[in-house]
Amino acid sequence: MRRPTRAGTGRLVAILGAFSFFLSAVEYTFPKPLPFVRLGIANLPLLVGIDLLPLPSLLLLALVKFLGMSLVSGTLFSYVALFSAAGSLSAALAMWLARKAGGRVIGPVGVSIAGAMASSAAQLLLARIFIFGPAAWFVAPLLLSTSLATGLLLGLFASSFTGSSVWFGRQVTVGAPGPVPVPGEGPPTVADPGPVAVPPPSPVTVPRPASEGRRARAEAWDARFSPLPLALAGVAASFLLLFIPSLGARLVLAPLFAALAWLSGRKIALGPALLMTAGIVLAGLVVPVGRVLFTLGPLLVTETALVEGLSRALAFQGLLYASRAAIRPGLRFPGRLGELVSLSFLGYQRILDSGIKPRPSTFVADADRLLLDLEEALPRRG
Amino acid sequence: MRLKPLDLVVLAVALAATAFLSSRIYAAPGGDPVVRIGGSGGEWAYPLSQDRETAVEGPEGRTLVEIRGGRVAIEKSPCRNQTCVLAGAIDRPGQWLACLPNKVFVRIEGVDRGGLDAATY
Repeated sequence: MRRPTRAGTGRLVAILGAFSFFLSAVEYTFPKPLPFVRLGIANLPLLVGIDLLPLPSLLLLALVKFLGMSLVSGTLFSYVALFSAAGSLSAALAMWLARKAGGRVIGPVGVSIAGAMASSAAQLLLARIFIFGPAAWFVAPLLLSTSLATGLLLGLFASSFTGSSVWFGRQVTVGAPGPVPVPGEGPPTVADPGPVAVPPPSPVTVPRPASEGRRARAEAWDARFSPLPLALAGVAASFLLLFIPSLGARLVLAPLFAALAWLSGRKIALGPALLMTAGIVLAGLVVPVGRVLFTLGPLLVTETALVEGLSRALAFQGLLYASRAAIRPGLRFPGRLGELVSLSFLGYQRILDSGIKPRPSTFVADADRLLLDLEEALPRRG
Repeated sequence: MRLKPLDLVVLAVALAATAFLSSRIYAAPGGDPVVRIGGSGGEWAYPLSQDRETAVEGPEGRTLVEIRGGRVAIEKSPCRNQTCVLAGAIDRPGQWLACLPNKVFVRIEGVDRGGLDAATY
């Protein structure tokens, strides 16, 4: 039994990272019944990685997945990113714990459910603190039961995948899981010798199908601004939005940032934005504060709660727009993490180029083919 | 595809936790008690659980209402007899305070979930 080398683990993280980018793009094409309710198939690589990677690398994979998706969707500086990061990291941690505690008597189903529940719990807690207040608990049963169902489904799927995948079989014989972490494996350090083969900085194409006009706007935007200054401007914009709590300022800033996001070639979906705004405002009204304006059935509509809810909803949307205008796929992160994200994007590009399109009926075999192809194609060390 | 023993345990625990939380959340009526303050200029509502001071205008002047530590009291009143201030603090749904001269009425609304009966006092 051979332990994977550090570069080997890094490469494995990148392969699984690319796979999860691809799955999240696949998931994006499914209809979403409610904001925050997702199937979570992009967590499959984490579930598969649990038996292939030591904990630090598994968390690194969760980070790569989070950063990659935040770059593509441009949500890095928004509440959405906070939810996504907390969800991914807590899922990875809970799955790892379940796997360690369960040993031979736990399978992918139990591990997957543990991860899904932890992820939902973390997101609920954030929703309670940052967005919805005490009303967040009202969606808890819905969120927990859907994530229980999706966790179960994903676990069953992972179970059949690990049972029949040629790629997975090879990984297990190359570097079997063990209680001893790989020496030197860990989060990125400054004095990193950089054993991972770094791909040349290639522009990552925005993977989502874009209309002609939107693509043209995105190209013009990216030609005019380079990614780093733009990201810094995004940080400044986020600070403005967060630290000027007045409704008036946010009424000006949020539409301004929406216009910038549109100019940068991002899609502005009014329906979900309005739904989210209504949700945040309604949730805010559950705890009445201030002058009673009118009553709506059992709900007291109070002035201060209404103004604060609107202000919070505008901050939420404004941050999302500012982030989507400022965070471009070309943005690079320094250090090993940055290399892994780049490498994952390279792998993702390779998946798109390979033309392998998983069908629901043959998903396991297709995913296997895709990973085997990646294993061949992704640049390796030396 | 085989389920292992702990898979079923995790599934059962997750199901039980979800069911328990759902019953707790949806069965709990009303939510936190709300303090409703009526004055001649309108009506205000605040959660009993958040400390704050608020002034209500009436024909005699400003009545100062304080919510602190889950209790509400009229702290200051421009009225002559000061009955409302002397009435002390209230903390349970259904209880009320009033300053008739200044036309200020304070009541707690909600579902009483306290373990102690009012008669205990």
